[in-house]
Amino acid sequence: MSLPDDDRQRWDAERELVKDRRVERALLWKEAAVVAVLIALVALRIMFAA
Amino acid sequence: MLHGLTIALLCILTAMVMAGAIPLAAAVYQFSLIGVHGIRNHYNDVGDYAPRTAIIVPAWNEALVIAATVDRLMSLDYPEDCLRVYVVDDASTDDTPAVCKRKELEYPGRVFHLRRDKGGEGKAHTLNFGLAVVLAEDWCQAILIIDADVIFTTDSLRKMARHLADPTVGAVTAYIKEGSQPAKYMNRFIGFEYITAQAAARRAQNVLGAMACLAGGAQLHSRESLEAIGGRIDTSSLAEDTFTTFMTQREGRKAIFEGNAIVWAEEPDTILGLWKQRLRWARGNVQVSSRYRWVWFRRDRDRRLGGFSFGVFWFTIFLMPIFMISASVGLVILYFADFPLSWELFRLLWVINAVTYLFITVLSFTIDPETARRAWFEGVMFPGLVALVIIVYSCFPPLFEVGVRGLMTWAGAPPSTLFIHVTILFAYAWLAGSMLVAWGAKAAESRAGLRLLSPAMIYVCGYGPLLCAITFTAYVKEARGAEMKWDKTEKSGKVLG
Repeated sequence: MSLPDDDRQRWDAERELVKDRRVERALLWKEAAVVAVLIALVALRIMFAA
Repeated sequence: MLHGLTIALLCILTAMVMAGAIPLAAAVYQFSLIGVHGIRNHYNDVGDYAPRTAIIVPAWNEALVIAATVDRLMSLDYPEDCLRVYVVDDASTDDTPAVCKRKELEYPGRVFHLRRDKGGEGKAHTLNFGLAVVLAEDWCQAILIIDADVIFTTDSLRKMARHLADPTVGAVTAYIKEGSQPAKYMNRFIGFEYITAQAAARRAQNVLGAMACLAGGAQLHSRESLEAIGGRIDTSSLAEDTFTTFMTQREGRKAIFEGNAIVWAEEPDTILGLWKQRLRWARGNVQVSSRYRWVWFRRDRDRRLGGFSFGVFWFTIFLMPIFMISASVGLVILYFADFPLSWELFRLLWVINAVTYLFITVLSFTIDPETARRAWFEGVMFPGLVALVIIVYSCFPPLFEVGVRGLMTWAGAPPSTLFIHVTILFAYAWLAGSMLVAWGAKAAESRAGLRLLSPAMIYVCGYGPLLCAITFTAYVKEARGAEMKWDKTEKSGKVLG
């Protein structure tokens, strides 16, 4: 079941780090988008209530 | 005098109701830190580091899963000469010893079978047996403690180990995902729960620099760190993983969550299975809360664990059932004491609930879209059907006040005043009542004639209240000094990886 040596060389620390950093940064934008949509929804609700 | 007393009573009742909003505010605060993790994380201090790692696998009657687990560990994307697996067989009575022996022969010098003659004392004792062997040799630089059923994705150990390049890091944990196939409704609820409790909450804890728990199924320790806490796992509680996490941090080392290292695990698929597992965890948390009582909210005693935010996160989860009961009791008393005030507070509480629910659910779906695709319905139904109806009502009252009333009138059964007031009282009591329904669902599952009803009851009362009911039971068990019994979660090898 062990991987051949060639496959073991696949790990590229730098590439993985760049990829994972990108995933984490994306969370910041996702959160900003969710908050913006929520604020818009609350504003709409208040507008219609008024 | 009487007027003053009335005002004081109303203030106390208002505080009791609004206590129900404390966990909601804490959850919003915690989730708002997830974005910060995009900037403030440990990736600046990682290195291309693959320490010689001893993997300790505690195994008691794991014949169904242990072979696949060992094979997966042997195929990890990790330098072959830097990885050894020690299966600690806790006096298994099934085929586990034979399977382990086969694997030992298949991977000579890399897989080791350690056998305890006396078993059944719990995971911590089993781990300590393995740790004594591993730490007696100089070979290992790091120790990975896992469960026998978990499946590590090929790059997960590399992703965890790179954090140990920073000597200030004592331990690293991974993102454990529910991976049962086929997944039952309970597996999907747990899948969604793990997005919130791990992928989200532990990122927030990374930001705070204080970790509540290294997942028992995937915790990588540096040798120095483990030796600094005595080279042993705490055996005096039911939450050995949380104690290890706290001890690591108390020794001045960081505990890190690596959200991009994925580990698949098989979790309970029934209410009874979940109840057994979570009661152990919840009782462990009661023990941790008590044992570290001199740390909470005292930054002078511990810079990380004594922080205000960490304390708030810990206790809002730990005391959630109390907050829910407090809100319901406050509302019901106010119903009789000052109905208009009770109505305003009820609306306010549930509007806050609605905003929190939307924020957490949508953000959770974006954090782990893969799990969200699998468990979106359970994510939506997490608070339960009744709570969702109340949420919709609190945001859009005319929908009910005009729509439902009109519909009932059209059907020839206009709502009477009595009906309306009974409904209001029911809604007021629901936060506490939902936990009772969860108890009922557990009872129903253990009776042959009612078993089919139990999933429907969980969708109605919610998975969150089910967890609260378990936590409440843990308070009672600990208060009574109930026996600490290690109830192992049954595993059947349903994770395909």
